[in-house]
Amino acid sequence: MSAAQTTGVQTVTLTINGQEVQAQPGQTILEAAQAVGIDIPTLCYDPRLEPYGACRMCLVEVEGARGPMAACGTAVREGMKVETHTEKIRRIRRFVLELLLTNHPLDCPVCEAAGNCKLQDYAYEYLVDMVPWGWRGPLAGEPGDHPNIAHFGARCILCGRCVRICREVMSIGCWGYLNRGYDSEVDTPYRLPLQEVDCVSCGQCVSTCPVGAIVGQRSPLGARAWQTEKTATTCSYCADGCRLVLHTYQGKVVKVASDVGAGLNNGNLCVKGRFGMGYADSPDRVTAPLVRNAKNELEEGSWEDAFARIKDRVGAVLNDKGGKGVAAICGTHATNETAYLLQRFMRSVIGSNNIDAIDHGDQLASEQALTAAFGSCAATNSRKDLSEAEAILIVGANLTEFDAVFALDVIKAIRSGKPVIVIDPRTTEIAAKARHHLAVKPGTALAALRGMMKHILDLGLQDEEFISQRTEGFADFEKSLAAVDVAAEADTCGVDAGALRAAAEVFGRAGAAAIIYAPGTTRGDIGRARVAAIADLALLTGNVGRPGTGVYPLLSGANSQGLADMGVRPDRLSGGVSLTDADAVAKVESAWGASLAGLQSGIGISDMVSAIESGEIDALYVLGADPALALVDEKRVRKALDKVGFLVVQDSFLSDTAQYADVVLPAAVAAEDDGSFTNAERFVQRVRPGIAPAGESRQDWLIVQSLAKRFGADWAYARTADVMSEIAGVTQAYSGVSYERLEEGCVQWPCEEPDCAGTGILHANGFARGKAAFTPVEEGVATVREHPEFPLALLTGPVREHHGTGVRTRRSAGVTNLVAEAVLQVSSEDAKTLGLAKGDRVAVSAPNGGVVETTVHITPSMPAGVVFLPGFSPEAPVTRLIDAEEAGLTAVRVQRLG
Amino acid sequence: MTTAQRTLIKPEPQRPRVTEPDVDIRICLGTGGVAAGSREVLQAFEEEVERTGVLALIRPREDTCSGRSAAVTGTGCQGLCAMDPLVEIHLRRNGSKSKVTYGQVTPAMVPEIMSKHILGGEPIEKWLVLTDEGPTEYNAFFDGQEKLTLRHVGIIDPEDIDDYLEAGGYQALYKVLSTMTPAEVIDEIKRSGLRGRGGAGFPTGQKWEFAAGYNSPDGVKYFICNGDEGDPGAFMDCSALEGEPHAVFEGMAIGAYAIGASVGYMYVRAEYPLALRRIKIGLKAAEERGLIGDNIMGSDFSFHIRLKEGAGAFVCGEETALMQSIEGERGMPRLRPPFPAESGLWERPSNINNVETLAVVPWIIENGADAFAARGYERSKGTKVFALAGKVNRTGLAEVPMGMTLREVIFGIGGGVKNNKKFKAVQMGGPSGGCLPESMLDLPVDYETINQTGAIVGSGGMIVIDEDNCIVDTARYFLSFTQQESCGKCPPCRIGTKRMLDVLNKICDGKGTLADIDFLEEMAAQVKVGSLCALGGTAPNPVLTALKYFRDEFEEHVVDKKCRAGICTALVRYSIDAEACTGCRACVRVCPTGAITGERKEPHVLNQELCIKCGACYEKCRFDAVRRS
Repeated sequence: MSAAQTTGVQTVTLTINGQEVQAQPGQTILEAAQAVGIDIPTLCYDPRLEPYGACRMCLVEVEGARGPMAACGTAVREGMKVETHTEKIRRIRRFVLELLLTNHPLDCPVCEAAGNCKLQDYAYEYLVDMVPWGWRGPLAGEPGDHPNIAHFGARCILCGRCVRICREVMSIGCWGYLNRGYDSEVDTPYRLPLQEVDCVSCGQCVSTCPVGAIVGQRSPLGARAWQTEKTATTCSYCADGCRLVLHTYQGKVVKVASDVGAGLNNGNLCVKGRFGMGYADSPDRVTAPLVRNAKNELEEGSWEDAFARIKDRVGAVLNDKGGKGVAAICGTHATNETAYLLQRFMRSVIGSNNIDAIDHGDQLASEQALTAAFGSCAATNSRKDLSEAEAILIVGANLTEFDAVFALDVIKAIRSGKPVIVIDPRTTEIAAKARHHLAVKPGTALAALRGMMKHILDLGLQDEEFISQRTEGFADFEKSLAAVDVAAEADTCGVDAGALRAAAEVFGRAGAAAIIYAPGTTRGDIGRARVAAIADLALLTGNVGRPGTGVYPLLSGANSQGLADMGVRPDRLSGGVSLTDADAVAKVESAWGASLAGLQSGIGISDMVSAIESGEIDALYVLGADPALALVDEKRVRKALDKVGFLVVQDSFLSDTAQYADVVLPAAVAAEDDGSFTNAERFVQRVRPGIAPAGESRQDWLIVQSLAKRFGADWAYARTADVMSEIAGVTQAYSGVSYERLEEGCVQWPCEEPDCAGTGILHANGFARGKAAFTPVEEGVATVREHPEFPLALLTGPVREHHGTGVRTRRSAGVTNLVAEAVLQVSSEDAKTLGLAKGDRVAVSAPNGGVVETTVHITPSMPAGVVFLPGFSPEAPVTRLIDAEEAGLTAVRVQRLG
Repeated sequence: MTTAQRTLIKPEPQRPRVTEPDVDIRICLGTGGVAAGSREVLQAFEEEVERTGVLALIRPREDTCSGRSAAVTGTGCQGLCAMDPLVEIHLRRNGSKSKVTYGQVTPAMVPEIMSKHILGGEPIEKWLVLTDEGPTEYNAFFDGQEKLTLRHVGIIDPEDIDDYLEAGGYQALYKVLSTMTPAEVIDEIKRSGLRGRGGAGFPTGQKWEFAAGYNSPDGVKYFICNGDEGDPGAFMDCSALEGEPHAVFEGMAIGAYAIGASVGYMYVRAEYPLALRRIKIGLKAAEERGLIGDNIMGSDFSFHIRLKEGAGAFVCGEETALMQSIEGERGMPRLRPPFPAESGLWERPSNINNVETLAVVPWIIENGADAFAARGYERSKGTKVFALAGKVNRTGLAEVPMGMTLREVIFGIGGGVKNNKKFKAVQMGGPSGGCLPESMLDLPVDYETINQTGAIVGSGGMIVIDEDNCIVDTARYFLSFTQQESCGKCPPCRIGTKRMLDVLNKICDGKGTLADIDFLEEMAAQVKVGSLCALGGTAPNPVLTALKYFRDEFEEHVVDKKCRAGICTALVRYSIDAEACTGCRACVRVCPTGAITGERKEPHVLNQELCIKCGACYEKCRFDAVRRS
């Protein structure tokens, strides 16, 4: 109502149960009633889905209508008179419930949904009487053997929500109807096990089932809905920032659920979020500090032992080399509060700017290029904005695997018939569904972008007004495109020139168009040129600063954005303040009561290995990251971790990196953590602990504070809220953020006043750098260096079941039961040439001498000449094959073993 | 667009117009006729005309578009299916014309018809069902009818577009395209009072007006013909599609022009292979002649028709389920609103009409709205085709002005109940309708009157039920049909009809109680009001009307444990009256389970344990010795 008043939209006035109600035009009776707290029962309704009208529970009486109307599908009209609970209506509802129960197992005592079952609730509310029916219901049957999803077909009430969510939201279709009439059932195609259909184990069907027909497989702990405590928090895997509800019982997470109607995800989750929390309970947890003993073994000790060792050894390095001899690496699921305290600790206590995020190497090119163009680097718009885009361009992002929930907005756009253009060598799920798929050769996305921009100019589709008023450098940019030939670029990419032109035209003609790209596309110099071209394309077509437009750089971790915001960068303080900005630095110095003068720009993640090799860095503090597997050139990284004088690893597990540590500090996992994350759309959201840290482990921010105190700091943050107050005080974009506000919901930065609603669209009124800058396009493409013995190009990236280097997901049965091994994806053409069959063991070798053994998986989504190996497995570390010094693509050879 | 005369290409037959032939033999090739053997009869006539040299007297048809050497015309259904195969013979002799129809013709009868009648000039009285002169018992079947919708059916060769064109086909479309605006077309149909013949009786012109009023985002609108005729015993759409497919195309094109649609779909059930064949032949011919397709008759109006075969789900006759089915989805009704006029097939504005509705549209355009509105009764204008079936003497299709009484239809046109049995009820409107008792036979058949009774006009099915039918069993039959055909989407229909059926089974099995009857009635009321679509919403009608008009028969089942018709086997007991039994052994021979034993000329004995209550002995006994109680 208030939104309508502020935006001046005409409201509709209707009467519900005698009460006058204001509603938005186009709202349904159900929505209008819910908004004023009138509860109309529903079974087949889910706000994520199109109205369906099957269950007949939401029938209401509308004056003048021929019969009862389904409130879920009937739009409000001015002057409408609605009665929701008349005797007639109550009788219909009771009848429906009784009918459903005649056909439903009354096994509530052993049903997973008991206490969380709408059928159960309504049966009680509507005084259902089963005596006249002579009830003799069926038995529930067996749940099937999917690791996460249990299907009890006999409990199904045929509301069709699972069928529809799998199709309408996921665009998959694992569930459907069988038979007719009374014998109708919902099941998989041909009643195949879920594992054998296209199921991605997202559990969306679980989230929508109103009864116990599709539920999560039972937790061994077996707590009922009314026994568990519920804690809303933010997912710690990818950067989508999904709201999770942890169901906890006796100190354990027994279930992860989602709230429809709450959070950015509106109840949608992916397989990791819903089923990938098992690691909290893993027997591998490090639950006490470990200190390397005289026998060179890690041995359990007290926190005091651990801190004493750190003070001693880091103190020695400080004495020897000063602060610049010490470095810190922060993982992407560290909270804003942890990240902020870590950089404050490094800068003000240790006296070092050698601090960086583990994923900064991937983001670097993107940060540089986007900052050069717009003045800052962050997603310019929110993903809900995609609904207003008339065209969407996706460059090299395998959305359904990388950002599975973000992907849903793109799927929605595709399903509503919008043109989506995918530039990707692989036929990803999105590419297969999109109207335009430019299956470019690996490394040639830049050429495709050049071709598109040239064609847009050729057709005169550029936004002249935007260019002249809001940008600079257009002349040079245009000149740089003069020699570009669209057909030649298409040829370079290996795509049809007509297809390239068609894609360009669609993008150029769209009134609002958005661009999404993934970090995988942004490595090296060519990566920077690619992001510059993406920014150029957005500027050329005037697609910045309005709803439905914008540029979305995808990020790899839950708090990748927050790490950048908090100053986990070697050259920037929180809020992206450059160390050369004297005024801003002075503000921080005064807040900290410390002098940062004399601190040189630090060593970033890309240079840390060589700095260790050279002895420049002799003590390393790794917080929640696994550089041994995450950084390229695995062999060299491991050597450096072995060499560094003193290594502290703060983690929940003995990761590959932690095995080199001198001290391991046991950290709480996300379900035990407290703080906030900032997602890839700049939304700041709370992370809340559902359970207490296991054993002696502690929340990261507390460990950092203890360490700082040990080194003499007088920090006294009692709560994470205190840290956020300080962040708000020194960080312009966060100055309106506080925990009070975060309790109400997420806040999107920049939020500079306590009453600021947040900023959905960046650069709407002006760019951070004044006018946006075009970058002349660069020539060339990323190529595989010619290696006759290494004929295949290697791609890497995530798979949907795992995250990062898999430290957490590999310890979660809910995902490892689905995907345990990092397999090599090979095209059927290459498999034929190499004589490979599915399941063959192969050795993948690279020119740098790295060899990885893995298993072959043949997939039509791979183009010939390209193989894909994900990065989550220490058994098959893809980083072993990638040479840090080689900017282009990695060439590999695949040989069958045995 | 203006009303100004546009110069278009007037549709004409390509075949040169020939003088009226001296001998014209028309054989019903509707599904009923074919099933009764009319193909064989047609072949016999073709051989006979050749053999006897009569061929020379028959109009030359070598130039038909199908290239067929048709000495004899195969037509669509002639209506009196009870007497199929029907053969209509037109003769012209010495300036005078005669027309007679033979019924139940077999190939063996053909030589005699040829020699005595066609060559000899003397009709064979004993085989005639209809003549121009003296009345036969079947004249009444045709006399009360007035064929507007089916005016070409049974007369023209449906596979020959020239036949349709010679009969004035596509002139209505020509008139529309050359002289009328879409709004004028809609106005004409509105004024005619035409209402949807598929069941609901919604005013057609108003429906078109709605669809015309919505704009499509990409300009595409759909005009759909609902040919998913599924009511048991109804075959008027089948007859129209088989007998005059071009009239349906023409009606569609007129409607599409009126609402601004460019694409049409015909959704026809796959169980109508003959209709499908004739539609395919007809569409090809119409497209070749420029009567359907791009720039029809040289105008700027383009309309393409696609044919979609239904896969046999009754619910796909429901408009939204039908559209889902065209889209390749499982046929399940959608929530309305939005109505198809706003968002129908592929979310575009769509209009859907029944076959019969569309088939009469050309007539209305040619003859004017007033001519149509002059026929009929109160708010039900024009004529309606009824399918007479069940225990009626003359089963078949009859098109009569609306407002004729049930008695006139059943006893006048239908010739009354078979075998002089007593009339019990007529099931109107198929499984969505209801059964009406004898006391209602003088009601006029119009939408409003019939709706008030609890039955519906529906698609026009009339199934006559006599004293040998049990009303509980009949209600159970119709309910079991809808219960099986429920799509399964909403609980009232999916489970409610099943639970109602459970109770009916219980009653038929002799286990019912008076409370069950009340429970059944309560369930019926809730299913009616609670269901999502019309299938569930009307499924209880047979039960509700049976309860309304024949409650005593239900009570007899549960209180007296008696089924007066002897249909509910659990309530029937057969026995042999030893006094009346002559010991003829006739019953012993027909008993399939050997339950009856006895020596010749000795009274027989029936073993109740072996008896399956088939009633064969009861039917067989000539001495009333087998008793049913």
